[in-house]
Amino acid sequence: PTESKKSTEVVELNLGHTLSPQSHYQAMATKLAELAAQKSNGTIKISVFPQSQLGGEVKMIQSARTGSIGMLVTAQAPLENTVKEYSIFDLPYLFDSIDQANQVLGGEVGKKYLGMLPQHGLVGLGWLSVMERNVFSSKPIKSVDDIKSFKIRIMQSPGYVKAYEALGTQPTPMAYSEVYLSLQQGVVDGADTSPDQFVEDKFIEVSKYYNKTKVHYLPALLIISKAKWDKLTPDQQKVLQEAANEALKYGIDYYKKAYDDSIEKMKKAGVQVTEPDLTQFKKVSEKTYDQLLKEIPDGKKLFDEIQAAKQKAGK
Amino acid sequence: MISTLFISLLIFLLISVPIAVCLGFSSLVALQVKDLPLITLAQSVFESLDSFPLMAIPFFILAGNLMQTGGMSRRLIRLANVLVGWFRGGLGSVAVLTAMFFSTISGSSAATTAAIGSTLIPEMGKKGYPKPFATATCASAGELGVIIPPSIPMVVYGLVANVSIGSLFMAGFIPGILIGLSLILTIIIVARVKGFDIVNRSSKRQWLKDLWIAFTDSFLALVMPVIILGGIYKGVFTPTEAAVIAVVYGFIIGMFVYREIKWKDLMPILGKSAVSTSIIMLIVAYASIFGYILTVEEVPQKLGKAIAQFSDNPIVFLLLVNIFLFITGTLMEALVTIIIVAPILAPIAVQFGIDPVHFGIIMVVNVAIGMLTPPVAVNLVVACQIANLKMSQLTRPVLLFLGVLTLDVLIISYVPSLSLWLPSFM
Amino acid sequence: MAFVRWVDKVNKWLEILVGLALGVMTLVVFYQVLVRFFLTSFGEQISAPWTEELARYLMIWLVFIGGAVAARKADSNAVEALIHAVPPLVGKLIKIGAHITSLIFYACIFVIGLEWTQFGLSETAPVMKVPMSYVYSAMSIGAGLMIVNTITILVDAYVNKKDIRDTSDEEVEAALADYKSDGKEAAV
Ligand code: NA
Ligand code: NA
Repeated sequence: PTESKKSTEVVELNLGHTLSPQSHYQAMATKLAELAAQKSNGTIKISVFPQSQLGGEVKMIQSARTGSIGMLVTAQAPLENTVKEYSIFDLPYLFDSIDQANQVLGGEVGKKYLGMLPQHGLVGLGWLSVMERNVFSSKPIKSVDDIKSFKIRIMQSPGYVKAYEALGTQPTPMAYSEVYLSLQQGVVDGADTSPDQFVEDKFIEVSKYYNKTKVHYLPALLIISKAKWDKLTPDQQKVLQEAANEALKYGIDYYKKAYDDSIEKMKKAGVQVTEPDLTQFKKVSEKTYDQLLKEIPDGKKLFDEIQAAKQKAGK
Repeated sequence: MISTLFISLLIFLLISVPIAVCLGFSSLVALQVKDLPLITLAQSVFESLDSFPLMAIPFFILAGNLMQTGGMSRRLIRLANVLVGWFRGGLGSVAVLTAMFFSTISGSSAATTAAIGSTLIPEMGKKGYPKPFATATCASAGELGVIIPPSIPMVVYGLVANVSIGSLFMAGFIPGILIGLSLILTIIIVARVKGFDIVNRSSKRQWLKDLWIAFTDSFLALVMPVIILGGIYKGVFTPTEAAVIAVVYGFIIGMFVYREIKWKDLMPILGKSAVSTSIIMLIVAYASIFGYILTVEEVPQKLGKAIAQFSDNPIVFLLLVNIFLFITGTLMEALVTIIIVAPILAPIAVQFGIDPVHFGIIMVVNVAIGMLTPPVAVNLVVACQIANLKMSQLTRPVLLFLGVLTLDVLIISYVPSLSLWLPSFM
Repeated sequence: MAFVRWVDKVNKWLEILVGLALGVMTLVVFYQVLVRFFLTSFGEQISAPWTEELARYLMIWLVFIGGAVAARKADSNAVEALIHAVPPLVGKLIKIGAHITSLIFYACIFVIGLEWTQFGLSETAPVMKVPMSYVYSAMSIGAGLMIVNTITILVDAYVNKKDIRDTSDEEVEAALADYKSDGKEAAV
C-alpha cells in the first residue's frame, strides 16, 4: 500500500504517553514531533498527548495494534500480556546500572526484542532510557532484613511480585493513584518508582526515605502502530526512524539529568536517600530466576544472550 | 467530527434514548465519520471498567442496601432525628450531615451519594418530603464526597497541575463545610415554605430519655463509620476495601445482631445492588469513549485557550473559568475534566495571580457540581436509581440546589482565604 | 405470552447470577484485606494478587449482564420530556424509535464485541494467565441479551396493550410495593 500515498499528503499521528509534561517521555516526544516535521518537510505531523489522555499503557497498546492511535511511549511491563518474551525484563537485578541496560538495549538484544513486535501489529522505533525502580518508604532500608514484612505496592507483573516475595515483603495490589494516600495513611509501608516520578508524583511529600534498592530497571519503548507505519511512504518511514533515533538519544540524556536533579530535590526536601548494600538483595532475589524463566518462551536462551551482551557492555 | 458527535447526542437525548446508549452511539457515529476503528469504543469501555477504585461504587451501594434492610440506617435516622429532628427540615439536614460524615470516608461522590441515598431517601419520604426533593438533596449532598477529603479528584489535580495534594486536602475542609451549611439552610427554608417534615415536640426530660434510648439502640451502627474512618486513617485499608468492610460489617450486624436480614432477603439484595451498579457503570463506561473523542479533537484545549485570550482581569477570568467548567461539567465526567483541563488552565491561573491550591479547589467544586448536571451527571444517576425516579422528575429541586451551589462556587472563587487559611498552618 | 414469560424467567436467573458475582466480589476483596492486614500481623506471608484481578473481571461481567437485566426493566435514565410533551400517538412513535435506536446500537456493540473477543485471544490476564477473551466476551453476550430484552419490551407493549412510554413494568411496581411495605414500622 506504500505507493498509493503521495509525499505531499500530510500524515497526522497522535502520540500518547502516561507521564507528565515535565517528564523525559514528553521531552523526547516533543523533540520527535519537531524533528519529524522538519525532516519530512511538514508531511508528518505528530500531536503529543501526555498524562494518559489517550488512555493507560495497556489501552494505548491495544489502540496502536488496531490502528486507533498512531504512536505511543510505553514501559515494557504492559507489553507482557501480548508479547510474553518481554517478561524477561521483570527479573530482579537483571542489569547492574542504567548505562549498562541502555547499552544492551541499544545493541543486538534490543533489536531482537523490537523484532518481536510487528507480528502483534506494532513497530518498535527504539528504546528510551530504562528507569531505575527504587523503593520509597516510611522506614529506612539499609539491608535485606529492613525490607522484610514490608507491605509494598508494586506493579502486578509476576516477576515483580515473585522478586518482592523472595525479599520477604508482602506485595500489595493497589491502583497507582491510591499510593499517595495509602502511604500517607500507612496502608502500605512503601512502593517502588524511579527518582523523577517520585518527585513528579508528589511522593516527596509523604515519604521519608528513598532507598536505592535498584531491584528493577524498567525499559521504555517508542512504538508506532503497524497499520499507520505501513501507510507511510518509504521516504517517510526513513525520516521518521531517523527522527526517532535522534529524539530517543535526546530523551536518554534528558532522563540522566532528571535523575540527578530529582535526587538533589529529594535531599533538599529532607527525604533521606539511602544506599543499601545490594549483595544480599541480589543473592536472595536471584532464587526466582529458574521459575520465572520457565514461564517465558525460550527464556533460558534469551537470558544467556542478555548476560553475554552485559559482559560486552561492562558495568 | 465534533459537530457530528454533538448533533447525534442531542437527537438521541431528545427522543428518550437511554443516556448510556446516547453517549455510546454518538461516539460510534463520530468514530465512523473520522474513519477511526470502531473497536476503539471497546478499548475505552474496558479500560474504564477495569478499575479497582471504581469498585467502591457497587460495594457502597450494597452496604447501603444491607444497612437499609438490616435496620441499621433506621436506628441511625432515629438518633439523628432526636438530635436535630425537632426543627423543620431536620431530616434533610441529617442527610447533609451524614453526607459530610461519609465524605471523610469516601473519595468519590458517587459512592457518597449511594451510601447516603439508599438509606435516607426512603426515610425522608416517610417524613413527608416529596421524593424528588429528597432525591435531589442526596445527590447534591453527595458531591461533598470529593470536596471534603479524602478526594480522588484532588489527588488527580495535584498530579496533573503539580500542586501539593496535602495542601489541597486541607484546603477542601472549609469550602466543604460552607457547602454543607448552605444546603442545610436551603432545606430548612424549603421545608418551612412547603410545610413538610413533621415536627415532634416533647419535654426536655423526655428528649434526654429519647436520646439515650436512640443512642444505645444505634450504638453498633455508630461504630461502623468509626471502623471505616479509623481503618483508613490507621492504614488498614483503601477506600474500596473500606467499602467492602462496610458491606461485611453491615451484613454481620443486620443478620446476626439485629436479626433483621433473613437468608431469603440476601439474594434479592445482592441482585438489586448488582443491577443498580450496572446502570451507573454502563454510563461511566460509555462516557469514557465520549471523553476520548473530545480529547483527540482537543476540544477542551481549544476552549481553555479561548478563555485566556478573552480577558486579562482575574475576576473576569475566574468567572469565565466557572462558566466554562459548568459547561464541560454537563458533558464530561469529573476526573476526565480535571485530567484534560487542569494542565491547561492551572498555569494560566497562576499567571493571573491565583494560588494553584485555591484554583484546584475551584476546579474540584465545579466538577462536583457537574455531577448534578445532565446528561453526564453521575450523582443524579445514582440517586435516581436508588429512588426509582427519572432524572426529568428532579428538574425543579435540582435547579434550586444548583442555584445555591453556584452561589457557593462564586464565594469560594472570590474569597481565597476560605481555601487557603487551613493549608497555611501546614 | 409465552415468549415474554420465558424471557422474564431468564432475567430472574440473570439477576441471581449478577447478585452472586457481587457476593463473590465482596468475599474476594474482603479476603484481600484479611490476608494483608490480619495474617501479616501474625507473621504469615501470603500475597493474593489474583484477588484484585478476579474482582475486577467479575465487575465487568456484572456490568454487562446486569445492564441487560436493567434493559428489560426499561430505561430509567433517559430524558423523557419530549415524549410526554407531544400528543400520545406521536410520543409512542418516538419512544418506539428510541427503542429501535437502542437496538441498532446493541447490534453494533454485539459485532464490535465479537471483534474485541477475537482480539482478546492475543492477550493474557497478567495474574490469572487466562486469555482476555474470557473477560472481553462479556460485551457481546451482554449486548445480545440487551437485544432480546428490548425486543421483549416492544412485544410486551404490543401484545399486552401497554403504553410503550410507560416504563414502569410489573417488576418495578412490585419493587415499589415492597418499598412501601418496608415502612411498616415508621422510623420516626
Ligand atoms: Na471525601
Ligand atoms: Na454533568
